[in-house]
Amino acid sequence: MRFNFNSSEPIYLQVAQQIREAIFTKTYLEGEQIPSTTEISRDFHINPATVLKGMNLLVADGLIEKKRGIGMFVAEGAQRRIVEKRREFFYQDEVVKLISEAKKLQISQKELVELIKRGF
Amino acid sequence: MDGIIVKEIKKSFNKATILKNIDLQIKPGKIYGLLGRNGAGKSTLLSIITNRIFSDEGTVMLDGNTVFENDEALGQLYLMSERNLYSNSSKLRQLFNTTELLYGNFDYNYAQKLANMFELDLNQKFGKLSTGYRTIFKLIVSLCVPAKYVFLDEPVLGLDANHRELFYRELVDNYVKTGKTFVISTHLIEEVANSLEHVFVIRDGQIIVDGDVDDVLEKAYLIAGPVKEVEQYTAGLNVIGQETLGNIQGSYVFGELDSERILPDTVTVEKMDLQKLFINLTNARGEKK
Amino acid sequence: MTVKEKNVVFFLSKRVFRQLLYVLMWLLLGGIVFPMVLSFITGTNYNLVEAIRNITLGPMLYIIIGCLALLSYSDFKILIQNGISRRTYWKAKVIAFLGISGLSQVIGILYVFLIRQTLSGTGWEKYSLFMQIYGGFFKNTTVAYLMSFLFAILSSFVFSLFCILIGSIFSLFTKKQRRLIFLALITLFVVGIMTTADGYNRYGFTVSSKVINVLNFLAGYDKSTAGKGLNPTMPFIDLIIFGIFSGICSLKVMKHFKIRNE
Repeated sequence: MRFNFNSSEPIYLQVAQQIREAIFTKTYLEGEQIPSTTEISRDFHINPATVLKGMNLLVADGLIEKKRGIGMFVAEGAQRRIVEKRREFFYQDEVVKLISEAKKLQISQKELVELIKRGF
Repeated sequence: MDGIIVKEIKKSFNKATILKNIDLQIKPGKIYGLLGRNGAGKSTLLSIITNRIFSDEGTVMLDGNTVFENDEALGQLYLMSERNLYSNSSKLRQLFNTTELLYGNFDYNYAQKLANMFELDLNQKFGKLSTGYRTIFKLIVSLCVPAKYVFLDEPVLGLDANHRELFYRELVDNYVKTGKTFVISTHLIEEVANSLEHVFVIRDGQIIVDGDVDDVLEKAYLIAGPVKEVEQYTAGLNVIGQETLGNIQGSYVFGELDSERILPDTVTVEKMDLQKLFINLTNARGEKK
Repeated sequence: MTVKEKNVVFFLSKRVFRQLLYVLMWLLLGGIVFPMVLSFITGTNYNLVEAIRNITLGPMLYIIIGCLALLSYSDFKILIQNGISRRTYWKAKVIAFLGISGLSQVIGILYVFLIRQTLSGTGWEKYSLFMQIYGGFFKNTTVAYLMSFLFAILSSFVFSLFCILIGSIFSLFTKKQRRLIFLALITLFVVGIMTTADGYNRYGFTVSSKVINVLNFLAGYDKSTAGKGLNPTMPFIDLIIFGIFSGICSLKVMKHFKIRNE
């Protein structure tokens, strides 16, 4: 796992985002253990309370599960759920924007499909 | 369990007022940052908390008992200060033994491990060490001493980048393992910022910020855009600093934004990090008003 | 005594012992080895027995320990770094020095008896100030000896306490201030002696009878027993009062110790 911290977002959100990304890219497979709060704190000098806050976001989303006394594990279906969510975002953020921009440029639906085919 | 409660501490040296009226609480089991520029009064405050010097007024209590001349309370506090109180003629191992004798339960194994990591030869005399290695030695003691509250005053003084990295790792690791409370006093914030849970910012002998890092940063904004729009949007808010480049202005705001106001398309709102916030809170411009 | 106080006593005693051994080593070198080598070089006779016989161990330790009791700030620094209060430091220091000075006098007395007497057989009374002044009071020599030992031990206690007080007062000042005070005191001392001597030469010198009475009282001089030696109870009482005074004052002074910027 690698952290590239930027300064404008709260650290706990960045922790959550980095782990989510790692599950998405299958760096951590479903059912596998992820690094402990302590390990992450230690390696990146982040206060354990902050790391825990980030992890708790993922627990609330059902992406990771706590196994008492052992640690945190990637939940069943976590990767698939991330993909679904990102597809949703992809439509909301990218496609809708793309279409509105295309409309501004007077690109027809057919032309847009052609353009996408060309770029694919 | 109230931890340490510092109440209405005042301190002057000769005629200069160093601490005006300090109130703060240090709860067990957290990593605190005491941030302030050089001469803001950090070291004086820590020296008063650990009974090394006396305040003119005010009290320091640990779990309800005064710390003043109280062996039992003092035995739970350890201050690693910039000033060296260890005698130059003592060997480092002897100093470990002294710490063990007077604090009890010194973690020799861990100390040896740390000494190896930092490449510190424990058979040397304290007086023979360079500034950096004196710091390293004192850090090792700080991490191995069984005191519940460890105060680190400028803990990375003279350390190179590798050693600083090593120290931050061990600090967090030690914190997780022992649950000790650390209070880190520094003016070099960037490296330590993410390790902190709670910060005090001290300026001119007064605490101007006291809160959890997340809560504090929640209220720290950078508003950027054309000068006129930014001025309009931030009018009346607590602007603690500004940067201008041509027609573009960035204003640092600490405090709530006015949700009634409409944010112009040309203006962006970003969050500040601790370093930026600190610089803007404690710079010379902030002192005017 | 708490465990912590005991540990501080142990810590300080160890430090003083180390310093003491160090000083003694140098004294041995300067007092015996050096003259021996010198006599070897110059070809004169060197009498080791004579040299050992002439060592006045008790008074020597008395002075050295007093000097060591003067040092305060360096101990204070390391103790405050290790979470020890000023009061505990004072208590431990007093206990440590009472122990060490008492022990040193016992050793001094044993030394007098064992070595000097086996080597020469001469009495030791003439070396004891107490025996010189108060010895005549006692009819029984054993009692006189015993009292003399007690006096030696007690006076070493009090001397240590006094030195602790002086040392602690000096520790309140920075190095620079200490140097200035030291210079001022020496100047005062020299000038004082000179003016006193000058006054004595010119006008003669009379001490008020009140002062003499007080001094007599403190020394245990009584006209009725004049000639038989002075009353030995008085110096004991003087010492005890002075010792308690020094002890209390040194506590008061040490309570003001703080870490200085130097």
